[in-house]
Amino acid sequence: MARGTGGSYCVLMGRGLGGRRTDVLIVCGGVAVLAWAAWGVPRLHIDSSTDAFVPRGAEVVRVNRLIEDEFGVSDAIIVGIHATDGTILAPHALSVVADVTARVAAIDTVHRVTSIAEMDHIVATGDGMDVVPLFTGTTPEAIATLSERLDSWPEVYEGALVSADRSLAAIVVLPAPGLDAPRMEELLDNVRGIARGHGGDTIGVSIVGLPVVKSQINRSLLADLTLLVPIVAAVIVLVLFLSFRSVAGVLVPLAGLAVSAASIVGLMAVLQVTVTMATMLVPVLLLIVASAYGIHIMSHFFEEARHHTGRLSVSETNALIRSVVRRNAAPVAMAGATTAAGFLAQLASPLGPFRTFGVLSAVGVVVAQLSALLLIPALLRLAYRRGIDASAMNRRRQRAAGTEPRLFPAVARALAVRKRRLATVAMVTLGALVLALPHIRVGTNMLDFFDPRTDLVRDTRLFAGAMDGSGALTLMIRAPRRSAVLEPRFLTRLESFEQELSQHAAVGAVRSIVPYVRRINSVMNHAAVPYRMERTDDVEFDFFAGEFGTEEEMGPDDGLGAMPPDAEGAVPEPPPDSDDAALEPPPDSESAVPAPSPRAAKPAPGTRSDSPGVDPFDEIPTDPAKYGLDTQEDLLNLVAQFLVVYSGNLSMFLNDAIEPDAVAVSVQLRAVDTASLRDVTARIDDFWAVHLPDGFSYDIGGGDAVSLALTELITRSQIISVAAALAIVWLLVTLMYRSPKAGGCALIPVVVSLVAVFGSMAGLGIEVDVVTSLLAALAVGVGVDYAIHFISAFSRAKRDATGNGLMTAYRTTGRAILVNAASVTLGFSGLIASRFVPISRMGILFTVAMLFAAVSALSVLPAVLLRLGGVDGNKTQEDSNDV
Amino acid sequence: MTCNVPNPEHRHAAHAKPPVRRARLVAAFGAVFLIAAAAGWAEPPSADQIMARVMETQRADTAAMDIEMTLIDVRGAERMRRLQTLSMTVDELTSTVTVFLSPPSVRNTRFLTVERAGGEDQWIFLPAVGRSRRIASAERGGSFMGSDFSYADMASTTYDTDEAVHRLLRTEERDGRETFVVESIPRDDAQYSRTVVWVDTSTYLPVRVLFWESGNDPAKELVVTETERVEGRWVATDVTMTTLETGHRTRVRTLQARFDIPLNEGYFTVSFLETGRL
Repeated sequence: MARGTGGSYCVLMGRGLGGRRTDVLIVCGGVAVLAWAAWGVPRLHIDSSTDAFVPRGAEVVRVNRLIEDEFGVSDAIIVGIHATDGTILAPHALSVVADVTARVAAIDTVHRVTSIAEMDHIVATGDGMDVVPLFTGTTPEAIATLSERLDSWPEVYEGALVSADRSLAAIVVLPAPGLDAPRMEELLDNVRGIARGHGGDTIGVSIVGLPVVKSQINRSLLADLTLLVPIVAAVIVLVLFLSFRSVAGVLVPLAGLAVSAASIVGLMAVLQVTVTMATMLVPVLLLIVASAYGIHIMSHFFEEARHHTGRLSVSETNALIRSVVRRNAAPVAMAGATTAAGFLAQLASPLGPFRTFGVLSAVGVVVAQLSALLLIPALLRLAYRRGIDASAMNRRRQRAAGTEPRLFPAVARALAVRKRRLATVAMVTLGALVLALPHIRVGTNMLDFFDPRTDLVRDTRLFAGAMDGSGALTLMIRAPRRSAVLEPRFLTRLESFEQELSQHAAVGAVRSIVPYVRRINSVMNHAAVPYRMERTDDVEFDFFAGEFGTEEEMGPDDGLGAMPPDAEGAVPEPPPDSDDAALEPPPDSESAVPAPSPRAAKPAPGTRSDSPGVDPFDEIPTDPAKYGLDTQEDLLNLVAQFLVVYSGNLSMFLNDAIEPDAVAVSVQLRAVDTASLRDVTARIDDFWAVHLPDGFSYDIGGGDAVSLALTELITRSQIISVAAALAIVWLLVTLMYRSPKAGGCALIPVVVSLVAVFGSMAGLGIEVDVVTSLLAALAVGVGVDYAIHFISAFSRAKRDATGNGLMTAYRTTGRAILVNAASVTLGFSGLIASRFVPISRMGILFTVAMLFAAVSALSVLPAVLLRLGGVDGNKTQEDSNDV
Repeated sequence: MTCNVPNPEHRHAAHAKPPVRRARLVAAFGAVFLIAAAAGWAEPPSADQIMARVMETQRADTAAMDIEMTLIDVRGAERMRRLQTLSMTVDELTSTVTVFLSPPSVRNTRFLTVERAGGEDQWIFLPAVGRSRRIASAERGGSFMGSDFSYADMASTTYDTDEAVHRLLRTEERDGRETFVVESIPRDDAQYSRTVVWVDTSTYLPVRVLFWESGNDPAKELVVTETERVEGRWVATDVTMTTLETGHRTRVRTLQARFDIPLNEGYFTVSFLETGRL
């Protein structure tokens, strides 16, 4: 099948497309593709955040949207104002906090700003309670008051808005709902501008938070790639030149890979495909694959020319080129087909950008094939339109060959003589890598993308230490009926949850409505329990039922606040015992004026506490009798009215000020690595598995919840797609060669490269994340490419019966593999120098993948082929003597 | 307008018009001129005059209202509040008492506003607590019972002539009605840095108001969807306030309304607030 395919391809490539005009047209076509890419580059939409990976229908996305709609809570930008000379409670520092707060709040795309300069404080008064601004100015008296207030309510202020040592103040900026990426970027620029404009000798400014991390990823990625890609290209060019020692040897393969990469860039622009951290690897991948095809063509071209001396005429040159194309058409076609099929296995991934990566890569591989089999021959014919000076070419090759005359014979000898030693080395290496695999970590911690010395990482760690952390999860608990989340029995469970989860090392603080209820309860009972007032039954109001209070005498039926009969001074009967198991749902009251509930007698006035320093009312009210009430429903109403009294903004905790049926609980995190996130969510699940009331439900959301969900999806995605890719490669190669042995042999460099990549990740502590997980696809693509080229060359050499099948294969395809691996490895190793960790990791792992694919294709694969006698299984004496 | 005046040389020609007919023509043109001037060529009222008429339209010595307030979130979920209010104006100072009738958790919560020279005082009474509390001015911007109206909005959504600098921007047709579009910028610190109100030219009721806080985009929008004539005055009976950033809105329907009725002054005292009795 392989020969038939190659033959047909050869006819197509060799016969119909040889004229000068055709060659010029083909080259012009390549130039047009490059121009198309240049047009497309400014139109590319880039989103290098991990958000682009999460499926829109994912549960965590639904939850986050719900949380944002109901509570106005989303990932916050946090501005830190740091008093470098001591305390933030000083006039200048406080003025900075106030000014930054006011100016940021005035930005249209800001939903809400919270800081010590924009916060209400609950104080006790003679009337019961008052809600006043926390910050009232920068006079000494105002600062003293502020300090007292901050000390009086640490569970709300410390760690969230001010550090415990009072050196750092945080300004929490919530963006408007539904901001798209460009407007978020604009908001960040505005906030940065305002904040940094206030920095000085005594004031340090920092900006942290998930939106900041995402923005920085975009900037760092683009900045580093802009710098490093030319370096990578230059190194590749250098290696090509050293290998081929001719301008054509450099420019021709470069043209092929440039056209392949450019075609995909143009396609992405036209189809408005977002450039994500996945799809930006496609041009990189094509640099490798397309250069391999081009280098194979060039290597075979120069090898063919080696057999000639003197000068070749134009027709002889064209014939040589046709011969090279004929020999390479089949392996390029087969390698391209299997590589493309391997990439299409990404269609099984649940992540959209991975699927897009797979499709674009497959298309790019096809373009690379066409480029290698059409453009490169056309360029060669144009380059050598006056014929080839074979002698001069051979002299240059001699200089370039260098160690090569010694390398391949040495390898071949080793394969023949030191099989066992080589096999042992291979097994030990592979074994070590396999043993490392269980230690591999999966996770996408975006902060780990940055060098620890960057401002962002330093500031985030500062916040983790001085404050309660800048990471966050949001727990949304929903009740089956309105107001049920205000039931005191639920609130006490929520309080227990806060206390328990706060003990976790990764958790800085857990914040909810609970401290507000406790404080209001305490303050309202500050001077005396207010319910000690002698009062009567509730009255039924309906101003329209009578004459608006102007009657001379008010009878019992006028309904205008009249007292019920016999109620003057009387104590009504206490109500029947309430059901302690669960609160009965209050009656629907959408339109009717409900009947008043009877009240118990007021308890006699008592002392506040027998324990000095302990406020008996600093609690969630759970005992109706203590508050002069009768039922749990009365306590629920008490809590609801407390919140009405507050009249401040509690919408970040409750989805309605009076009848909430959901609460939001903010879990502030000091650590946001995958292991910590998993542990924290497991603790949350464990607690509510036991304590969640009947009919209640909960969801976990927030930006860091997205990271966790993404990690789970990536793991599943890669297991599926790698397994699918291996199966597809084996099947295709088996069909092409009509030999399962061929399928198995083709997998050798693939498996070795995969094991090497994952084993290196485990050994170097590199996590499998959205970027590194795609390197598995790269390893498949490159590995199968090398394998098919070598198997084809080996099989062809055997059939030619020229003897020395292995050496022949080495001198042609082996050399090409070596040049390709060397150029790409050296070129991409330049990425290791990047300060942006994902790019640096890509450089390391590219290098590992290419090295192991090449080494295994040139050592392990030939050893197996020799052992099997080729993929058709006919082992001859020649095979044994291939040295 | 061009007048087709005959050539004087032909005055006495065979086609000259008789003197009586000419006078009628002049009178007709003069009447047309006067009507046109009255209709459209006359100066529109000033912004201050418009806002004074707006306040006058809404002014009543006493009023009683029965209101249904519906809170609607972005997903369409509704929460209903039912309240009744009484108000009394004496010497241009207005007092208002509001009683919540539902939902049950806040039933009988009472709210009193007493305007005085130079400001106003507000108290809230909670039946479960059994006490009233004065609300500080800083909280006026806070949400009223979780609605899109602030406490300040509950007092009024338009400024009197001495409270703001008013400017007539244009006239505009809106939903088949001619409206004056007036911008108001408060003279003193207020919740809103700017408002623009569309005033129906025939009823002098605001039909739409945009509210700005600190940014360039409006923060809230009030739209009147229904008006009725009650006891000889126009009343906005269906009003919706929308918080534009979030899409949350509050609809207020007036179920019953009475104006200029005798009211017991005792309603507007802290004593009534706390005891519920006169």
